[in-house]
Order: sequence, then structure tokens, then C-alpha cells
Amino acid sequence: MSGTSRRDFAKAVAAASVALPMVSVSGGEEGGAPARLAAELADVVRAQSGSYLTAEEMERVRADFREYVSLLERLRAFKLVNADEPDFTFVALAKR
Amino acid sequence: MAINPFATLDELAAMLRAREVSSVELTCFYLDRLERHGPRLGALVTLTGQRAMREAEAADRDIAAGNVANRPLLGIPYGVKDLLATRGIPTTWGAEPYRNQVFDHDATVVERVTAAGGVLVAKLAMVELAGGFGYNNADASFTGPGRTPWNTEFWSGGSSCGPGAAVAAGLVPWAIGSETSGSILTPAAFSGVTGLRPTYGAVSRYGAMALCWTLDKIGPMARTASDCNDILRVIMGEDEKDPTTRGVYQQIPGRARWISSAAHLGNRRSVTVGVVRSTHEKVQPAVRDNFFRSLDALRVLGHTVKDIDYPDLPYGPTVSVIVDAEGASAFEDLIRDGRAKLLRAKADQIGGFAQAATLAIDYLRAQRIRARIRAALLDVFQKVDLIVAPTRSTVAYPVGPDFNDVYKDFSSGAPIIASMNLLGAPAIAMPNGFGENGLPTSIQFNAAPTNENVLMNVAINYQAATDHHTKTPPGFA
Repeated sequence: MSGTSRRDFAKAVAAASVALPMVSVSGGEEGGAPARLAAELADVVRAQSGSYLTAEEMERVRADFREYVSLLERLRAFKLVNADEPDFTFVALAKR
Repeated sequence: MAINPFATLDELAAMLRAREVSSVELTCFYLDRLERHGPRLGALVTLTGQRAMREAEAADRDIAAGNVANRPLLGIPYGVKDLLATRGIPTTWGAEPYRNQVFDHDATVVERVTAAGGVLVAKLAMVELAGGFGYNNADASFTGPGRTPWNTEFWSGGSSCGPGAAVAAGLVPWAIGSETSGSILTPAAFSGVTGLRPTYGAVSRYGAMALCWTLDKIGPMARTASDCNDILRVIMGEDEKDPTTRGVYQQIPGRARWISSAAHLGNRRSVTVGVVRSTHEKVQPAVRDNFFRSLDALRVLGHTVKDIDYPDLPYGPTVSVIVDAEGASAFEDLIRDGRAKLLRAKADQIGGFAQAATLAIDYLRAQRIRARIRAALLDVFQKVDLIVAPTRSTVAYPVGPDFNDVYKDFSSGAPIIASMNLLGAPAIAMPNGFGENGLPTSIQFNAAPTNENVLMNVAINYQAATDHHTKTPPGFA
């Protein structure tokens, strides 16, 4: 991976002054949709792995998600159409 | 016979063939250097002395028999990042949970180098799990932080921290690293060596730790572009054990008569080099000054340098979500049974659990956007042959503080490393001077996928006209 952490890097890119085809992002404000998404993702972590994480670690997970959702919103704001296929292709081959 | 630890492959091969030194002597020389300097640089995981001596003795027999034609690596020691499987020798992936892991086979890339007569002397350190769980500090390997030999208070870069430091300090003549998104280029920059990231699929990953199936690449780190070119000739090619290599090798122009480094020197091409303004606007002053000097050197060599616009696309979020999802899947067992908590870096101890919450729809969205990214970047390569930029916006990070607590005033602008990795494009990072604290700076050249021949031609001739790559760190002679 890159020298900075991947998420930090992505956040830095997200914060850069580039004009993207984006909807506005409300950030992680208390009670807003991004904040709810961050909380819900943290709930998934708690449900899946909560037994391994201390309260302090869960709080760090929540804090990370609060920043992560702005990155996620940039991803989700990018306009795609039905014809946009993922950049990998399944190929039916007759043998392994 | 005095051995220069910083000799190039050509120089070592000439010494071996002139019988000025044997492969066994060369191997003992580098094993000794690894043992003396490797631990304090955080570069060494395992010395592979027994295997090395067997391979060196075999190489000496081949040299004595005159079986040397077209074997540039014959008898020359090398190291591998410890994510490549080596039969009977621990392969730790840099991570505590895998410290005792041993495979019964060699990775394909190791098999190829072995067949070419290379002598494996060491498994070299790496950031745990190649940084897949989001580390944010140099201290992210069970071997401790990798340190650049130029100033050991600073990091050697990740995730191929061991190969970077070991090559830079003359502990091995060359090494194999890997890159998902920056893991060859960054340690090449911070350690002051030359690192080549080949086209995705050009080099088999069979036997390499998987972090991200759609982004992982294997490539050489060495003293020169010429060395990287010679190593690439040996390690690239199709492998039925790695389906991502299918058809890639066939697309590489000149593969059947791969151009030697000497031929590149004698046949200099003139190309169009694209520069993205934002990549040098907010970098450290020395990084910018050295970059401009590098551009001048390219102009003197007859290349056309021009500013280009870079497509405005969500590269960072795309690569992040892809690595999050694939990394969580690749290490699902480590996450599900809680062993991720055994990782060294605090961020890594929780990162995998968070990544496992990545939604499938977001991952697929990222891969759909990636197709758009690929098309847009291929359009850029219709207008220029290469895209060049400072490899990193700063010199190496200090060992100790978290990365996001230092160098806050600098940024890399358009994310060339992330975007070119999404494209699967080849790139080479080369030292181009020095900046703060005596630390090296670096320039990266990127080419369109499978266009290694142009990339290597320009890089080899650039280094023939400059001398940054010949500098060696004080205290390691």
C-alpha cells in the first residue's frame, strides 16, 4: 500500500479541491444521513466482531467510519448507468 | 578481491565470469552484510544461508562449465519480500499470526529466478499483510519499522520496506517487492533505489500473499533501471497457476526479443512526457526543485515535456473500497477468529474488522467506476507516452509519529500512484536528488499497460545521463 494509510490517502484526495460530478456531502454531522451511515456501519462491526474489540477500539472504529462516509459518498455520487460493468470479466472456459 | 556492495548486476556478472570472485564468495559477502546491518534497518526476517550456499555452488559449477549465455542473474544473490512462498523456509507476511508459516513450494517468481541461476540469500521485511488493514505508522511489522539507510531515524517506506532498505544499504544487489497501490514505488523513493512496478499480470503472483486480487503486482527493486530491465526479462511471462497472467505477456511489444539494457542505451527513443501540474504544486521545495531538474534532463535527452490535464475521477475512494473489500476477504479467517488483534500497528488491529463491513454494492460500484477510470486514463496515453511526477510529495516519514501527524503542509495533488495502479500500468521510480535531513527524493515514470519497452528505454537512458542512482548512503560502504 501507499506510504500513508489508504484511508487517510483517500480522505486527502477527497478533500482536495477538485471539481467532481458530486452531490453535496453533508459530512458526519450529528443526526445527518452520513452520521447515521457511520453509526450503522459501526453496528455491523459490533455485531460481527464486537467480542474482539474493547470499548475504546469500538470508539475508534466509529470515528474512522465518520470520516470514511465522506469517501463513500464520493464513490456513491459518481454517476453510473446500467450498462457500466465491473472491471473484471467472468469467462466460461471448458477446462480449468 | 574487494567486492563493491553497491555493484550493479552487469558489474557483478562480469566479475563472476572473469572468475574474479565466485558466487559462493559473493553469497558469503552479502550474507555477512545482511547479518551485520539487516536487523538495525528492520530489513531482515530470515537469512536463507543453506539454500543460498547450495544455489551458489550450482552457479559456480555452471560458470566453470561456461553455461552463462543469456543468464544475467547467474550466481548473483538477491532477497525477496517475505510475502513470497519459499519451500521449507518461513514465509511470515510480516505479521505475528503468520510467524511460523512454512510453505512446501516456491512462488513462481522465485522458481524463475532460481532457474536463471539467482541465489536467494534472505527473506526481507515488509509491512504486515502488505499494509492491507490500513496502517498509519512505520512501526507496522513484527520485525519493527523499516529504516532508510540514508537516515535511520526515518522510514524506508512501505510496504516493501525490507527490499527498499536492503538494496539501498548494499545488503543485497537486488530484491523482489510487491505493489498493490504504492508498495514498490514508495519504498524505492524513501530508500533511494530504483523500483519497477510491471504491468498487472505481466509477472505471476502464484505463491505470493494475496491482498487484493485485482491490484497486486510483483516487481524488482534494484540499483538501476538497467538492472530492473534485466530482472524483468527473467520474471515476466505467463503462468498457468496465475490466471491474471493469461494474455498479458503476449501483448507486450518486443517480448520475443526483449530489448537488453545495452540495446536500450544504443537506441534512444524520443517520446512525449506528460506532467500534471498539481503533482508538483504542493510538494516539499526540494522535491519540486529536483523534479524540475529531472524534467530538464528529459528535455536534454530529446523528449518533449508538456503539461496535461488529468481526468477528474474518484481514484482514492475507488482504490480504497476495492482494497478494503478484497483485503477483508483475503484475510477473512484472521478477522473472523480475532487473530487480527495480534497485528503490530494499532490501526491494523481494528482495520480488518471495519473493512469486513464493506458493502458488496459499494465494492461492485468501485469496480464499475474503475472501468470508467481505465478508459479515461487510456485516453491520456493516446496523447503522451509517459506520465511523470514526483514519486512522493515529501521525503521519508520519521519513525515514531503517525503519518498524518507530519508533513501536513504538503500533498501530492492528482493521485498518480493510485490511479495508475487502478489502470494496471507499469511504472518506475528512480532517485533524483536529496531533500530534508539528507533523505532521497524520487521521480516516477508511468506508461500505458504493456508498454514496458518505452518505459525502460526512457528510464535507462535517463539514468545514463544522470548520477543520482549511483549515490550510496554513508556508513554502509
